[in-house]
Amino acid sequence: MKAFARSVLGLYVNPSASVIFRWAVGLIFIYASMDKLLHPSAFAVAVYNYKILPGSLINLVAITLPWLELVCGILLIVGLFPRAAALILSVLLVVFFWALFISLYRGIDISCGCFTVSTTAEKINISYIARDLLVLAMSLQILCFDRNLLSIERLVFLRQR
Amino acid sequence: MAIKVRVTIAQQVMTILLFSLGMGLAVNTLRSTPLPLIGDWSHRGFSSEGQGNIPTVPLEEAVLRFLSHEALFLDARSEADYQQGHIKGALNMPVHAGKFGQRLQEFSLTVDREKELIVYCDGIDCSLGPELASILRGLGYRDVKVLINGWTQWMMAGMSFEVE
Repeated sequence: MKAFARSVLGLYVNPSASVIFRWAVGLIFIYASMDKLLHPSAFAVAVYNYKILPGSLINLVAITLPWLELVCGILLIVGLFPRAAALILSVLLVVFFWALFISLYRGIDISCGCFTVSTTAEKINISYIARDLLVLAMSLQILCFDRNLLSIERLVFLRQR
Repeated sequence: MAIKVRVTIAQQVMTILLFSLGMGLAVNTLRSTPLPLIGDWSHRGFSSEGQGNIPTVPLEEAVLRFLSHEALFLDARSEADYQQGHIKGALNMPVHAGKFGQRLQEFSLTVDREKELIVYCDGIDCSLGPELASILRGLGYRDVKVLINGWTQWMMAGMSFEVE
């Protein structure tokens, strides 16, 4: 059991795993940004439904958050500023966790607004929090252990040497 | 000799944040109907005395606006209710239906933010109308009023309606 835990931990801290995680998290966030980019008004309503943000901030978030997700997703995949992108996404995922947790705790019956802005998509439940934490684990791995394998930064670095 | 540029993580984070903010604002400005940067989402209810922030419109005035074709009527009830009968020319915006997000998106892309809107549902304590009005105000529509108990009032006044 101990050996198993150690080997899992060994895989987790491995810089090669970062490459896989960068692609996974990158694709997840690029995909997540699409519907919101296309439908900012509907996304604004999804944000409004959480009843967490002050009204004056809702539209600003609806306008800029999808771009932040898209940009960070692309940066992770191409390997430019990957750790900074992972840092931003980790913070976002913690905020999302908090928003989901509060909404579940309050018993607010809303849809996630995570991947689709439809207000009648499936209502949030505990599995959404689990999914958030899973992506957060990958994002934190990139932040801590990424060594720029298979990345633009490495390409530029090799040229310079 | 290559120039070594060292950029700290903090600088990278700032770069990404500013770039995303800029892209978001720029693309929003370029849209045909941009979202207002600061929307009025405060929903303090509605009242005829004007204490709430969503004004109501009395039936007589609604009728006048209808006859002069100045206001666009929005039906916040379900699609089934709408199909059984609605104010003539009214658009269906079913707040709690699956199509709402899509409808809202189409609406916000085609209808001018200055357009006069009158929202209604049915029943004195029906909350769909005020909810829709609140959402529309958040998206930047300035002239949104609620016709309380709209469908019943409209029928009792014998005004024109259509069935789909």
